[in-house]
Amino acid sequence: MHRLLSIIMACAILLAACAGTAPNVLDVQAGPGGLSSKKIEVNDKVLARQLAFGEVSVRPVGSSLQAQVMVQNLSSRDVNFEYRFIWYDASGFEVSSLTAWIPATLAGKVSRGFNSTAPSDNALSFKCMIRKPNPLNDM
Amino acid sequence: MRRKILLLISCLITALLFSCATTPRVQYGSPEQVETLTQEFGSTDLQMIAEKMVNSLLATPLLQSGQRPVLYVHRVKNKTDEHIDTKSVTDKIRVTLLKSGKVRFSAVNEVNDELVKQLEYQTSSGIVDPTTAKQFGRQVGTDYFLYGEITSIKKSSGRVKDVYFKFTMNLVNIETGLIEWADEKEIRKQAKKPLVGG
Repeated sequence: MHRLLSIIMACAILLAACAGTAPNVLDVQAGPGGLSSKKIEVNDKVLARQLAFGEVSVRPVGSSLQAQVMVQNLSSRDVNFEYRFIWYDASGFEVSSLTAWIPATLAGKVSRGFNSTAPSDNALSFKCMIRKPNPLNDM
Repeated sequence: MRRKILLLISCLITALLFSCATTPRVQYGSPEQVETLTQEFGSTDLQMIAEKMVNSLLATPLLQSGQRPVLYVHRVKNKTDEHIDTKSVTDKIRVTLLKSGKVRFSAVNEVNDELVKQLEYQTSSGIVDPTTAKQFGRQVGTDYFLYGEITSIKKSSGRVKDVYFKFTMNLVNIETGLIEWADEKEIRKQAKKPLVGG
């Protein structure tokens, strides 16, 4: 009886592992001089143990903003993940045209900067999201 | 109790098998999702290239000067051995740059015949009100053009296939002939055949 329940539980865990997980999100508000505030939302604790958001830099380029988010691999192995930046205007409307998930790999213990340029002058805040690979490879 | 659970599991497995067996399952997916169905150039490669080129171009002082230069896309040479719709890549870049409001694009390179035909119709046919007819000699001269190329290197050994794509793009000043901006995006994709099947 216990063995049967264990099998059912294991199947349920496997099925859950196949589904996409919510990303970890870095929410950044930019001020006139650059970074104003940042907030990290951890939705995937397993990923958070492998990858951490590091320093965030925001600088003006002409009348727009450019951002760099450092992502650090806390583990000693290569970690594959996906990331994306989404920019918002002052009213909270999404202004990004390119919002596709981008696959990336970070070698063990390595920290790397991921850049994004604001798609328009009215983009004042952004979210940088990272998640475990969730590719479309079979249905 | 044990028998009931076994019966339930059998029913679930049978239902799953039957649901897979009849017609192909069709569903809508997100265009933003990473695609790794095959090793060939795909939608994610296109999106990665567009993302890199747009981010880089938008950060150049040329596009941040506030003068909204006029550009056109010349072409992207496909030097790989597979069919790649390079226009689809440049269209994605053009649309995103246009939406930024920092550049203007000339359509002359793509639809010049149609433009000339329409101007002739408006000025010479006698059908169009002369006060609203658009005149010859008013087209805006372009300041820069974009061109580039995509190359690939393919290798395979045993069950592993490796493909490396390199996309290079340049922005040329028409007046001076100088390349004012250039950037590249490298993509590596690996496929491993399963031990059984494939």
